[in-house]
Amino acid sequence: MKNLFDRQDILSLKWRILTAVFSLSIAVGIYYVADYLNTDMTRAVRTARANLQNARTSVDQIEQEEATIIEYIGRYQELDADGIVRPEDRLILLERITEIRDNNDLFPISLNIGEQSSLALLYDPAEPSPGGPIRLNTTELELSLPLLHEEDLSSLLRELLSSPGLFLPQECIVRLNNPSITSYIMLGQHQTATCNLLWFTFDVNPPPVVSTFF
Amino acid sequence: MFNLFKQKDTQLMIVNNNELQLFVWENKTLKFISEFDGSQQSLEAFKQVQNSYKDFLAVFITNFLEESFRSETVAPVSGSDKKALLERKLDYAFRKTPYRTASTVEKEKGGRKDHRVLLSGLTKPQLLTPWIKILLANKTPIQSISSAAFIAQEFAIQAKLNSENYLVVASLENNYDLRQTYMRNGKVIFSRLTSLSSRSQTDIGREIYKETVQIRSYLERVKLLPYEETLKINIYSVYDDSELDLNQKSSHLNNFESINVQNELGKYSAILNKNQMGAMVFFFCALVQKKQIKNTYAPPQVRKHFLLKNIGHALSYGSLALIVLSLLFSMPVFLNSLDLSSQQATLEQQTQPLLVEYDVLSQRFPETPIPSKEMALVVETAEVIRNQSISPIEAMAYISSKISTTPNMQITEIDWLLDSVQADPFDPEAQQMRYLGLQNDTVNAYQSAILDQRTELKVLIKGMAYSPGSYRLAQQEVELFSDALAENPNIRVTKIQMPTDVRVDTQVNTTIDNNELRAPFTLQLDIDLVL
Repeated sequence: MKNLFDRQDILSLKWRILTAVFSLSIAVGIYYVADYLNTDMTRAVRTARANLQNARTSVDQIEQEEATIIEYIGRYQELDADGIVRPEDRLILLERITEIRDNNDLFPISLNIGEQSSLALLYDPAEPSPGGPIRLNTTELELSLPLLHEEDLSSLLRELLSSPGLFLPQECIVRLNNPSITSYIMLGQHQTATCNLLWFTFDVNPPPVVSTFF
Repeated sequence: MFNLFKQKDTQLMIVNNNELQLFVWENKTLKFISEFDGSQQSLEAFKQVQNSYKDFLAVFITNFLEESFRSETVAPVSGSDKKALLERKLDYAFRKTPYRTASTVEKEKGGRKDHRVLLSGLTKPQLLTPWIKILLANKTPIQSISSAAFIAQEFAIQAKLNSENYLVVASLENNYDLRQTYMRNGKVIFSRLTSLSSRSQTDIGREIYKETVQIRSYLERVKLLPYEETLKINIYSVYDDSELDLNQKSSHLNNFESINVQNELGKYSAILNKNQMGAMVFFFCALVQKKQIKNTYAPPQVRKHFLLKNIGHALSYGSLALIVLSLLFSMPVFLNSLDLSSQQATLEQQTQPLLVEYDVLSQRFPETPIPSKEMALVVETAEVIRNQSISPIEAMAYISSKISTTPNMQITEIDWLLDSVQADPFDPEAQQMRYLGLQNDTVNAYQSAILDQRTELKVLIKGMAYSPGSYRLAQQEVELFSDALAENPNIRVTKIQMPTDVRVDTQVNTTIDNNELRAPFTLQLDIDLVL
């Protein structure tokens, strides 16, 4: 068989061989085109499905956001008006305490404003897409004043806590200056009050956290 | 129905010792073309004729004396060993002719189970060579070179005569050549050509009978046919049995059956006159209705153009099959792609209204200083802090209201404290707290307690109880005060220090004199935060 066909014989089949090669190319081409189309369409369907899901999620999210905003905007605006979502203004605080003292004829108030600390607030872990970073800033205030009577402290605290701002009393100690005195007819500094309060503000645009290399 | 394996357009060449008869099988019809006597002129004429049938397949059927049959037994080998063995046998038996073949006739049941093979060959190749040379030069595809004996064998198989154990197919041609082929179980064992042209043609039946009886005797003598076995003898000729008068000569030894091929050929489409109708033509017509004529003798060199043509066809059909197969295999994938395309369109249709809805919602979205989630976090956190922002004045006012019941007491110090509570990290409830991880943080521990609402209110009351001289009275004063404080169910009172410690497991030191009794006490209030 090996020597049966000469070059001429093989050449006589050239068109058929070319046709076979061409057909093979067509067949492979058809297969690859089908495969390519299928892969492409699978990808397109996956993308379309993802787009649909994204659109649904976006609509759900925007509806939820709208509902959230409607629910919270009033209260947020109140916080904003009270300066709670702004950097703390110590001058205003000093002015306010001065005003309270004047209004109530209080003895001199010793005020110590501590260094502000900051804490990143955490979103609910169940929240699939939490919002941006928010920091809670805390400043410790230490107020100390002599009292003519307990009402002085009541007035101070009532007016301070009802002032714009978010204050939380942490500790308050009222002590008799001279326990042996049983008559309070004489005007004087009978008691001393020392109160620690926390002053909270929110930083809604905290600077991004930058890694520091030492 | 289209049958890929049926005989295509063919030149049938029946070659006998005197001439070559050329027939053409075209469009399922057999027609006679010409006969050629082998002279130079006839060869030229044959060459001319070939120009018209160049693409037709060529089938030779030889029916000449010089075809030899040898039956031998060979060792029971198979595969390439058997091929080589038979090749050696053929080289030995038919050295001078390329037209030879060998086939296994039967396998012996006894002894070493040798194979009985039939070696056969066309011993006078010169009778074929001139014609074959012309065909090869013309590149005519030679499909087959067979002989009357093997055509008879194929016919016998097709006509289901191979069920006969012992069969003689006798065919009488128009030139009175009588070919008798003996078959055992459908396989050629022996064949002989006898010319009856010199015999009395008026009593041709008797001549045929004599020849068949003679061949039976020969077969019995050479032990190819057992004695006393019934031999089926089918006679194919242009005569009816009424003319041959053979059927009535049948006995338990020889069972004659006469077949008139002219009548039989009427079933097939053939443009032939009576002189051109012979047994070989009939066998050919019968066979090509269902299958192709097998090659028996043609070596590959002779069949080269046929093989080339077949390779060409294989390439063509293979190419077509490739495309069809690829289409078949790809069709489900294409259909799947179509389905996916339809799915994509449906999904896009579903997406479009949502995008429109999103645009509408975006346009009417309320103005907001910060995103909603951050706003919610700020507001909720502020409310958590505000809920715990309790003025100490409330507690102090409550204490003042209760001390009025005990006039002989003086409070010297009130320590009001919103304290953080340490949570157990293994407590499932505590694990839900967001800032639990910061409860031991040096800077933010207190803030984390506020945010997790882990706080408690404690008030420490320190004071003095007065009594003119009764320890019991001073003690009762404090007891009364404590009870009054505890009236509120949200308040628990713990007596840290009483005017007189009356427990028996402690030591008591006091000075009893005329002065007023002044005894210190300390109470602790734990107040539940009602948030």
